[in-house]
Amino acid sequence: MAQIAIGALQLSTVKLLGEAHYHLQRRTLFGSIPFPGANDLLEKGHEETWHLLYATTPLTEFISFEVMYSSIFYHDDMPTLRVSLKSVVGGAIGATIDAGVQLDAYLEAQDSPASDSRRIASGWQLDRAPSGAVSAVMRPLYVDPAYRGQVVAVCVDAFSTAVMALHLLDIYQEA
Amino acid sequence: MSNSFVSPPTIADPQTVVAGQPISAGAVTALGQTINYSFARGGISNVISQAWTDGACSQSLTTYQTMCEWQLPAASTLHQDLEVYLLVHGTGSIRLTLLLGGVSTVEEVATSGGSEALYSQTLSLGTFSATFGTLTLEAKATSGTLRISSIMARWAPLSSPLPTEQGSIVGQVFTPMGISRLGVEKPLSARVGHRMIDNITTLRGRLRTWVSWSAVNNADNEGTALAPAQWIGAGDIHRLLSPTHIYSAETLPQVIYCAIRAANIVTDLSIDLLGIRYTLTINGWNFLTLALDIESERSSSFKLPVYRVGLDPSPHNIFDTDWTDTGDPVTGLAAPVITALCMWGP
Repeated sequence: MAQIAIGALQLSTVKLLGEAHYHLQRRTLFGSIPFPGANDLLEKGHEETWHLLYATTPLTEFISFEVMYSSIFYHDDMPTLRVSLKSVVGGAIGATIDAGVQLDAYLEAQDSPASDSRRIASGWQLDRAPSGAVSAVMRPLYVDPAYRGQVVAVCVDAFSTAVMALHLLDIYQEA
Repeated sequence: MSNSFVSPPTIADPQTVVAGQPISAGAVTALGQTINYSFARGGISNVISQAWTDGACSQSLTTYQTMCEWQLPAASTLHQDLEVYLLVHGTGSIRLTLLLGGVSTVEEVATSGGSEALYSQTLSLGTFSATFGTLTLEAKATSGTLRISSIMARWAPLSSPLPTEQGSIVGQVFTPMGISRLGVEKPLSARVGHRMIDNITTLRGRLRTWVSWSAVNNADNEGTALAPAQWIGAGDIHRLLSPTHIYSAETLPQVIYCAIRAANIVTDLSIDLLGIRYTLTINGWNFLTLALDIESERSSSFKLPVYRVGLDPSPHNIFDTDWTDTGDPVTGLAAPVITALCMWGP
């Protein structure tokens, strides 16, 4: 019975959580992106916003994420990346669940040329609900109990930065 | 009480059922409910996730054009409703066709308005037995241009109680747990324990979606310098690598499934996938079963071993395939290409 209990515990709280892998398809050259690391040319003042839907499970509490991006630092354009979590209510993207993170000076240090895309991950070090304020350093997103099991929207706002992929993985909580 | 569960589940503490402890009905009931919950809602997450930069997936023709097609895994044979969410800009219609093992359903979504809006549609199947199926997206504009920003799909979670019938996950049987038979003064038979073990084994096989990528066909700008992706280019290979965690106790044996839609194959197309070179010979969907023959990353980003799955960023995939070619502006690349890539693992 103990082994069955351990198996059921591992199954429900570790293995059968949620995950999603978004490939953010950018424009191509005649039908494909032919060169490794090739990217859209980012013009000065480039901005982009992505709303990416994610199906949480009733046991989803913290969502770890990894962003693949390419950024460029112009004279007075600081690359900025914000990742936040919003509700999906009545067929529309609604209120903010977690203000998430906003990286600017941190991201600038990670500035990458267009031919050398980077990955940045949220890590998993969070074991209590965040204060509600935007964090200036990476941390996972927090899902309020009222929204667990529902479809939510992960919002990515980027400035002077091109986002190419977003990976979302529920973090399991240790017993 | 029959086949019921609570969500989120009340987890049975393994410490309450170790040797020397009396087995209480409460712990056994919680175990049954946790197993029912896991079948109904556990791991029910995205089975399709893709997004396009503004205007890359657009349609201005006023008759339906087939644009994208994905393969997706069934959550079980009892999860028969697929919820599809679309972020769309413009006025027109999107037709979605879901096909699993000869059972199909078609739904249309009407869109309107000059700003981006979220639309959702549930596709309900009848009884089916297949493990994998396809979702096809067609689109047309009523006027102007229809722009699709993203698509997400998940199987609708089941509610309590579960149906009074067996289900199947990747061909393995799941038998719902009758909760009233696990209560006070009920015998704890060997059959109950055996069924719990079988059900846990079956649920371990539920597939998670790691890659769900489709090219866009028949879109605006096709054949131009602003075309959407019509095949995987060498520059997409790194972008399509997905980090996924696999519990360390379960790293072996693993069966990983991969569906690849190919075009322009005259003799064959060879690709490197998870460390092994495979040869594709069929135009259309090719189906591969793979082993986890790659090393995990010692990632500090997650608490579990992280494996990066997708087409290998090998010299063969990047250079030998001719995918570094920009192709012909009118007819597309003549070399064999991949027009959809989907991967799943347990």
